[in-house]
Amino acid sequence: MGNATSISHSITDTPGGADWETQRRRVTVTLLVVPIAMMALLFLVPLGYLVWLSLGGPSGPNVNSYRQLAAPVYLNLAYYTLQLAFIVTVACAVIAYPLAYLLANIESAVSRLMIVGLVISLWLSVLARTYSWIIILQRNGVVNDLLQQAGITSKPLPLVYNETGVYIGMIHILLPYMGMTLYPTLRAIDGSLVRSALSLGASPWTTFRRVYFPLSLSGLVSGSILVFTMAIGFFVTPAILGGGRVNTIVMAIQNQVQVLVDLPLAAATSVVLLLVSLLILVVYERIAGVERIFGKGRQ
Amino acid sequence: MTTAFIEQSASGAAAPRAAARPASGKPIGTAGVGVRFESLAKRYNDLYAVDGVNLDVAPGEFLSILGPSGSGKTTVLMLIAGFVSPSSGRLLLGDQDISRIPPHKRDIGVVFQNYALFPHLDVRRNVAFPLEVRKVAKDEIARRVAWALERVHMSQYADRRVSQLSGGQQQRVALARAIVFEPRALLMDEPLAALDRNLRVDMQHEIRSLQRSLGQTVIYVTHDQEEALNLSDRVAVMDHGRLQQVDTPKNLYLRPANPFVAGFFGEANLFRGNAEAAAFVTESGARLPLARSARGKAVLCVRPEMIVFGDKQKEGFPSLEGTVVETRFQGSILRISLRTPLGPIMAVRHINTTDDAPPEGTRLTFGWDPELGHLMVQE
Ligand SMILES: Nc1ncnc2c1ncn2[C@@H]1O[C@H](COP(=O)(O)OP(=O)(O)OP(=O)(O)O)[C@@H](O)[C@H]1O
Ligand SMILES: [Mg+2]
Repeated sequence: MGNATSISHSITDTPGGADWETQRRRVTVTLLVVPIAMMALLFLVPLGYLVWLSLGGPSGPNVNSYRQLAAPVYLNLAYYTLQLAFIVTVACAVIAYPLAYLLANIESAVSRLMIVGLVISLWLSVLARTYSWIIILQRNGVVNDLLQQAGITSKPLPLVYNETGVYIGMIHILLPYMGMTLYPTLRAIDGSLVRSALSLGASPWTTFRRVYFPLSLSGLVSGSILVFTMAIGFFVTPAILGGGRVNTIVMAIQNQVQVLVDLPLAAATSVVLLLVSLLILVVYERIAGVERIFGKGRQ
Repeated sequence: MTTAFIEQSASGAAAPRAAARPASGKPIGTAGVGVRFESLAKRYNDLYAVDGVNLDVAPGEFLSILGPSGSGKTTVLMLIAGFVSPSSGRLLLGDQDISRIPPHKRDIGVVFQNYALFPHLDVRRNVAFPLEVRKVAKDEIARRVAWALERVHMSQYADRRVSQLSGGQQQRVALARAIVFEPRALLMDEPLAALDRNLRVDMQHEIRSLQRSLGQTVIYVTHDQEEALNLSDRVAVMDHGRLQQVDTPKNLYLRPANPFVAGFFGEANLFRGNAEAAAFVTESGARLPLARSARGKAVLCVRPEMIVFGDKQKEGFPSLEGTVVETRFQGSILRISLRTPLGPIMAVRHINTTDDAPPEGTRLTFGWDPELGHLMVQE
């Protein structure tokens, strides 16, 4: 009996004298302090500085820089960038979907090897991957050699230092991100749902359209968001493979900083880019959001 | 295992069919058609998952497929559903050969063990799915969905999401979805395996009464003997891809075709030896009387509850002696293990008297009515 009392005594005597729930909350808060501080320091402070700078910095606040952005040249650039990002996203989705489908549904050493390949390609430097496309696509590169030897063309095709090169490079670099987001989603789709749909009389195509595809949509949405936002902010690949012929909004920012030396303008452009990306995220989420697909009830 | 058998028609084919009438329009619920296996086989590499199965399932019959794990039950079901194609043999639905028809054109309802409800659709849309893909008119869909949900007592859950349902409710929805399009047969692969015992028994009753009122042909896979006996008109016992016996629950218990079936259904005292006209000579040399004369290598099966002791012995019963090794009290019965010259014997006695259990080491004389001993002659 005395033993039991001493045990209960030692329990209520734990440091802080709090119950389990309170202690847990304290631990959680303590653990969260570091990441929150890091977020504030490394993310919110620079962001605040950027906004401050875009509003004129020390000579502000004013919206002069934002007025400058309304110029047709910037609107066109923004439009072009969004278009580029959109096409790249769609292309990645279209190419990655069947690929991820195969990987998710075929059990073999080959599919495992391909997944390893995908992951490894994410480790390689974007710069290296971009430059390798120049070697492949240039006038006397592998692709043109093959095309000419096969007699498909007589002159080398302009595949790089133009829009084509930018698309090829960006799709190639962003494809793994789409694949790696789609794969686990497709993998998680229960095969008995497909069999069940078939047994209920749905043709294979209807089964795909009404069961498999809707269930894969969440992966497609997150993959697309990932690829689209990355594509909007892409710099290295369009700069190198575009050969100066392809201009995106990010290149304009570089130009504003390095050539025009107009930091407030560059800051304003960045802020707008950020807002547009956010807006797209929100709209996308509304249209095809995960929450809606697996919506909470019907109301 | 002592199971009280519900008397049922041996063929099981003629389940009374009460046409289920919804509020308006023509009655829903078509009787199922027969399923026929003709030397059906499925081989994986050099393993026969299903080996030369011949079986006739009558229209409106409830047939269970029972067997140990890996015996090929699921493969049989997947053959009927069309997800596995036979290596040889034919499969007939009604009088149509469906061996080469793709699953979505077979009109067979399947209920899967994990329910396989579509998580992105609510209950109503799940049940409407087979009708929507068949392009049934909107108001007809509404009528039939209401009817099917009514049949499984799930009407009030029509607008729920699937994830908001319990396991039993999900299984009901899966059942509604499988019957709503009036399939020609209904297949179920261990549909209740994931439910707890009480719910399982309730669902068994519901499945059975639903099947009866629809006159639906049901092929039901289970590894639970009690479930198979409870539900079925006939049970097909499988082992190693082969059908061991297809018979009514009563006959499977009383007249098993071979020692495997005898051992699979409840407990059995099996004696190996030779039938020599009116007597059965065990391998240990004992002579046991037979009700009907037979000849050849055979196994004699005596169920534990057929064993009687001492003064209950009658003229013509074998008279054997054994020592009580262990007694176990199991509710209404007493289970007695004996050591005898014939090997270990298991007996059960109903506790309807004030007799105490015989203590360990007691010597008892025992025997059985030769009429109740079942002889399985081998080849
Ligand atoms: N796709 C397959 N490839 C190779 N062998 C298979 C395949 N499917 C089943 N088998 C084999 O066929 C045999 C029968 O399998 P099946 O799934 O029909 O058994 P079951 O009776 O349903 O067993 P359980 O009670 O465990 O579900 C098993 O030996 C299994 O390993
Ligand atoms: Mg199985």
